[in-house]
Amino acid sequence: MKIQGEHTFDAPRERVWRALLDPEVLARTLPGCERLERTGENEYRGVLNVQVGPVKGQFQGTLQLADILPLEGYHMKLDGSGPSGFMNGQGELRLADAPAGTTLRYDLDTQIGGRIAGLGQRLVESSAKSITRQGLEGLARELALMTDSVREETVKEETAAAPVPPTPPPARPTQAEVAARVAGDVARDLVPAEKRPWVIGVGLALLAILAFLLARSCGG
Amino acid sequence: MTTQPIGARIKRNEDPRLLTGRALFIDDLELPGMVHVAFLRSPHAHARLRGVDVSKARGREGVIAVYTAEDLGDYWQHGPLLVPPPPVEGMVFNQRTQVPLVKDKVRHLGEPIAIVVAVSRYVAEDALADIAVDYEPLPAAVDLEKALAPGAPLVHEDVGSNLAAYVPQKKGDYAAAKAKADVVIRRRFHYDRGAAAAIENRGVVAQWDARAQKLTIWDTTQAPIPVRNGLAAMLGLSEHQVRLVTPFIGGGFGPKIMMFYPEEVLIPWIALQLDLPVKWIEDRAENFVATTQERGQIHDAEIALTRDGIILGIADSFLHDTGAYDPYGLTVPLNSQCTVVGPYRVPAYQSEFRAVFTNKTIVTPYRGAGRQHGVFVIERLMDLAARELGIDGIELRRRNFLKPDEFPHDHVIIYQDFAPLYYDSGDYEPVLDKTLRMIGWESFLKEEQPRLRAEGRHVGIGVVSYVEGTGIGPFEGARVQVQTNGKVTVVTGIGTQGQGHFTVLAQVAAQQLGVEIHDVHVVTGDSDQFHWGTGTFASRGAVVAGNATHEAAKSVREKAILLAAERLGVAAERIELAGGTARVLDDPEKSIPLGELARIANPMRGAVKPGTEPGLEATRYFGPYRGATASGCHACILEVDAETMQIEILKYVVVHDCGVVINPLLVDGQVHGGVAQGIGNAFYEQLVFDDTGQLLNASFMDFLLPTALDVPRVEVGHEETTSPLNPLGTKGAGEAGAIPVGALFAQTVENALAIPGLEILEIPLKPSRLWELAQEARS
Repeated sequence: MKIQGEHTFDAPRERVWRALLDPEVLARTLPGCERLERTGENEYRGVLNVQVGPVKGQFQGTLQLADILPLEGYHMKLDGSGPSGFMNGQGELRLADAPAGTTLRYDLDTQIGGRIAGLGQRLVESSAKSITRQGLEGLARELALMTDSVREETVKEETAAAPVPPTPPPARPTQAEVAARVAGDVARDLVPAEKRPWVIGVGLALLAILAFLLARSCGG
Repeated sequence: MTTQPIGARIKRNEDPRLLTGRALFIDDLELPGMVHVAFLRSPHAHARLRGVDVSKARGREGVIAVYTAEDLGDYWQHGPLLVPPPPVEGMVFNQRTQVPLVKDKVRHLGEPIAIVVAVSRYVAEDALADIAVDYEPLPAAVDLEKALAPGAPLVHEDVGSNLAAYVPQKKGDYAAAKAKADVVIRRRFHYDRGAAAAIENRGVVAQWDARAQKLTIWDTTQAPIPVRNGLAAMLGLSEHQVRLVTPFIGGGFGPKIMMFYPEEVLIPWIALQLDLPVKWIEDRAENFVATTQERGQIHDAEIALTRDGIILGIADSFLHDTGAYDPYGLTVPLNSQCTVVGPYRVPAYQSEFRAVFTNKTIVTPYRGAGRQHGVFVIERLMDLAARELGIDGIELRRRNFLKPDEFPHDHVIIYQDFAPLYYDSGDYEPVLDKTLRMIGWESFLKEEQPRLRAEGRHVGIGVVSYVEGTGIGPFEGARVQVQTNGKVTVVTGIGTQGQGHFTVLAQVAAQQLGVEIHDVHVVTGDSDQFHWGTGTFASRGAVVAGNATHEAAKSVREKAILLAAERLGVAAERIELAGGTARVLDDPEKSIPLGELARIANPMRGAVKPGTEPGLEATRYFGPYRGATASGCHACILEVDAETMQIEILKYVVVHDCGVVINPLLVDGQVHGGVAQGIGNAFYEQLVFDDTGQLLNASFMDFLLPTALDVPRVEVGHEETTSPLNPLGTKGAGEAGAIPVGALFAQTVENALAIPGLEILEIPLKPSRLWELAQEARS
């Protein structure tokens, strides 16, 4: 299955790139991401909780980045597996300037297998789309917040006497919230049922976002 | 006797127990101290196994043991070859049987890698997540033609290709027949893979009694005795130390045959290792990958005829998907090969098949066992020929039917029982005539269809014929005993999965012994009660075990009559058995209850004549020389929605000839169930694999089964041509309902749509595919 698309963030390119390289942001942004840690240069390990239709599963995954071009993008490869199957993928993430911000283009080839492929097939594509959308929206929220933080720091320096309480980071959506949103999206999506093997898509979309964030952390 | 038990349309002896929830199914078993297992199954269809780490799983609380292939030691062996290849000249057979746990390479999705034993199934399933497996995924052999192409990924590298078998067979000289033909029609036919989807999945429970030195295995197998014998040998026990019990089973349909599945082989071994009762019940997700499947074939077939529609010859070359291993030999493709000749006179037949290893679940017989493909090929060729020659399809069939005086008919080629394909008896035209009458053929075509067409409705009619080899050997046995309470027990070694053996065998015994049918208690599938037998498959239970029961009951009858004659002081010829007694024919007041005779036949004191066997009991075996050939016709009227291509079956008729009918109600039931499965096969059920061997619809959300709304009321008629091959004159009926539905469906849909050039050459046929075919034909 291919996961392809683009999303434009209302933020300058340098800031998007930088924001995405924060593993904490990444972990908060990826729906279902439970843990993400660096294991080597351009190598990460994480735990994702994914639900596709009736199949709920935890995937232990590794993510490898290559051909990293700061502010441009990179190649990523991910392998995830768990009791409900596996999902693998590889592809490109690219940044480009947009009139009102920065465009992220993602293009991934994914494979899924095992129970998640057998039971969730009909819902994979919709679920992948939903998880991708939720991840991108989460990222947009993070970006907005980061912009604010930078401004606050500037303000802080100018008026050192008046401390401003730090803005708390946006709360990570719970499993139930993610699942509920996916279910809603899937339900909306089900009417035009163009059936393609999109199970991988779900995992890959998540991974794509993760990769982006990871790329940022390794770049930093 | 007031009514004859044989032929009586009576309800089933077993139903009160089944319908009130008092029958034992395997998951009902709860034994003290019982532990539960879960299997770690490969999520890849084809992958090198680089390593398995179970250390974390072993440490989980509640886990008792974890086993991988390495832990099995010498017990790790390839499974047995269950059916050897046929004695056909020029044949190739590459034997590769399954393994209990993967050691080096995964060859199909769901192949087991490790097994966890724990205090509960929940803990066992959780512990599966603790196991780390290092797979190296490999490209998979999925498509049949690509799998045979050079450079294809190899399922078994040592074979050198994915060719599992090659079997050429011929009768007469097809080339000469073709040279003489006025018309030759050639087409390619596809039949895809489905799952039997029995309502109850598989299960195995095993318990070792160390004090008795005896292993008891409850197993949902169709073949209790062969499985007991095989497991005893594998486990190093005497056959008598193993008791195998098949409880009530919610459907067999073939995949529960003597497979020596990994689970079947491992659960008893674990019970011995741990000295604990062990239980495994297959879940539906496992069933979709771990239980055998059927039906993937591609046929390139042609038929040569005269201008008058007389068949001169048929040629067929086909590919058969055998899955990752071929433990069941060539039964399925041989059945396909032998079914193509149908009920017709075919002077020349040339057929070859290649069985192909693929990275998919193993293929073994599933209700019909390859016959669906054969019926589809021949009946479609007949339809195409009729169209080409401008001869009515029914007339074309009549011209080629074997006539009653042509039986027995030798088709020369070798059948699944390794004997030449031989039709013992049959009379096809009366079956066809009755079918046409019941469906209302003439009036539909003359009156109804024109009226419906004028209304813009697409309603079609169709009829197909088929034959079915049934009741094959080698043998079954039965022990019949009259108890001192007057009730009769029949014990046999076959297994029961819902066929009604408790009623049919009771009827056969009651016929001889003059007792009420419900006073006959039947026991199947308990090796401690009867330890000889082959199993329930190939529509053979009523034929083979039925005739064994008949013979045993006859012996008991003779014994009872002699004893009664002696007691009553009359000649044996004057004794009849009726109403549970032995009585004098012309003096019914003089009688002895059968129970009393049973008591007398088992004296506790005194002397008997040397050579006397105690009790009113006899054990007899029956092995038919060949299988008995059943036949039939299916017809239906269905409507196609030309926009959505959804179909609705308006009327469905089956006329079936299974020789002497023991219980018409049960044959009706078998036919109804078979037709339901046939409808599923024709229109709903298809296992969809991607090119990596992933199964994309492994649940009942996506693998559609027909529901009560999709299955019409089936009207069943019976014809009887007595089989000369067994004393009861019966033939099998288990698979008849399922076999011709695809062929009928294709013909009837074509008739309904009436689109010139529309040819349905593939099954299953989903609405979307039918729409595509209709569009292609129109353009």
